[in-house]
Amino acid sequence: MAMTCDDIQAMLDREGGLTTGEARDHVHECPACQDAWARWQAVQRELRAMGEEETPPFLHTRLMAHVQSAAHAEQGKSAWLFGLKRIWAGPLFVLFLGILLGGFGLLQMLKPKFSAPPAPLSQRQAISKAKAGPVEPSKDEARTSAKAPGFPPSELASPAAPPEARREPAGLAAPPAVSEESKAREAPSLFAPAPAQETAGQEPYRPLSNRPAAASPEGGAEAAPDPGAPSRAARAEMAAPQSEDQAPAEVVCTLSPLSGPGPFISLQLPSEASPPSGGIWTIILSPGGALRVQDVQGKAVTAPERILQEIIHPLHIPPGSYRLKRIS
Amino acid sequence: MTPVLVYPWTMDERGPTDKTLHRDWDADAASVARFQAGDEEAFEALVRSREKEVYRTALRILGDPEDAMEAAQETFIRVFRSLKGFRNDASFKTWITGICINVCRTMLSSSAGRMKRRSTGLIKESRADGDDLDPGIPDRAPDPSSSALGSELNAALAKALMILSPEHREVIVLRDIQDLDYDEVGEILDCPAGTVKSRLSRAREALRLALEGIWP
Repeated sequence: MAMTCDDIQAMLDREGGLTTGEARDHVHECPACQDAWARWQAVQRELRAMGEEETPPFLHTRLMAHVQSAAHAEQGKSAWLFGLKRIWAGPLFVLFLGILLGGFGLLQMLKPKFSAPPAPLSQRQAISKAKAGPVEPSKDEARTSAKAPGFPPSELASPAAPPEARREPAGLAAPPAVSEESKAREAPSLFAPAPAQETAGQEPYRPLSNRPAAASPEGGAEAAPDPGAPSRAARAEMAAPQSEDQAPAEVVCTLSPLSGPGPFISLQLPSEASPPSGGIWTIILSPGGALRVQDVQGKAVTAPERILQEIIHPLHIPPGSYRLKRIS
Repeated sequence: MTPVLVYPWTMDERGPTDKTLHRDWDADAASVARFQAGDEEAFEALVRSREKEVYRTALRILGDPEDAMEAAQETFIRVFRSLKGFRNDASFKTWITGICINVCRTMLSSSAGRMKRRSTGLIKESRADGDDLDPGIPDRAPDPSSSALGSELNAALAKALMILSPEHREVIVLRDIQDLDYDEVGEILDCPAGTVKSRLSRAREALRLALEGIWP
């Protein structure tokens, strides 16, 4: 069967040429197919020429510039990331650790603030008393304390504390409006609680020694001073007016070494663990841990365990002789 | 009338010889090996070896010199990024051509590219000579005056190629313009050689029909 013109055209499309003798014979004899064949060859030549066309000038330069730019950008990016990792790994780790520890510390500060029961009215009244009539330590007292060598300076007062902090009871002489300076003087003291920001309506956290006795069944182990506790003067500002017929559950006392220089420490203590109003107790703590508490007449006080629980253990008082004076 | 017969009958004798092919293969493989060993300067040899093919392939698929340049740049950037993982058991030429085809497909399918081509086609449609093939078909053929061969057929072919579907255009470009064999085209287009043959047959037929209206 002879090939048709359509067969020739299909062969050209399919095979890309006249691949059989029969096809070549047909083209040889058919003018239309000769024309189609010539046309097909011209197209193929032109297509091949397209594969050899001139390219734009500076093609290589432009391509290389683009590739190098992209490569540098990627290297810079990876180098930046690598450098960031290498240079900042340490500081970032330290920062992370700081945030972690700070957050933990903050939680520790806030935790008792929310869990502490509100201070009873009697405490406020006691503080209010102190606010109404701040008791300055007498000159004799100050003199005695300045001579008393009881407290090791390194334990009892911060080296950064100014000399006034050793001579004056920081919290006691403060006026109702507490200045920043007096707060700063309170803060470095090992015994005095550090000042804290208080907001209106928010009950300040009180250390165990300041709570009612029922609130601290475990005793001294939990009675460590809280660094976040507000200053006494700040607490005094929050105190409600006191009615005269209510006995104060807490009283303000000062603790000072019996001899040698040493700081006054202002304390809020349960009334049963403090001397009677205006009274002074002498506390003698032996190196073996034995405690003796006596009043000015030399009579032993019957509740030294409360002294241990409220003062000695929480404040880590070193062995020595001390004077505990009730000032409110 | 004396028939004009031009021999050879088939077009199989064109193209590089086996010797040339092997030389290019070896040179590319050596450059790839150097690059993979850390010599980044070897990449320039690869660019120099394949830049014209890549550009021409992109030009004939995209139909626009600027787009072709952009595609060539993107192709070599992709090659640069992934050459470390290239295995020499494949041909670098087919590998890079496949990347170029993919880049061109991406550009063709991008909405920005379509908008650009459409707007260019509308501008060309309003030309005074009015010899555009179809007002609805964007004319992205390179300016014939910038072509080395610059012939009427060249311009007509450029237009006709842009009429074809991208699938047909790809197979024409790879087989008839870039002169790759069926296996290479199949490797690039990820299809068997038989599929390449049938697709090429349909593409040539479509090209012939398109040329009938452009090149009488």
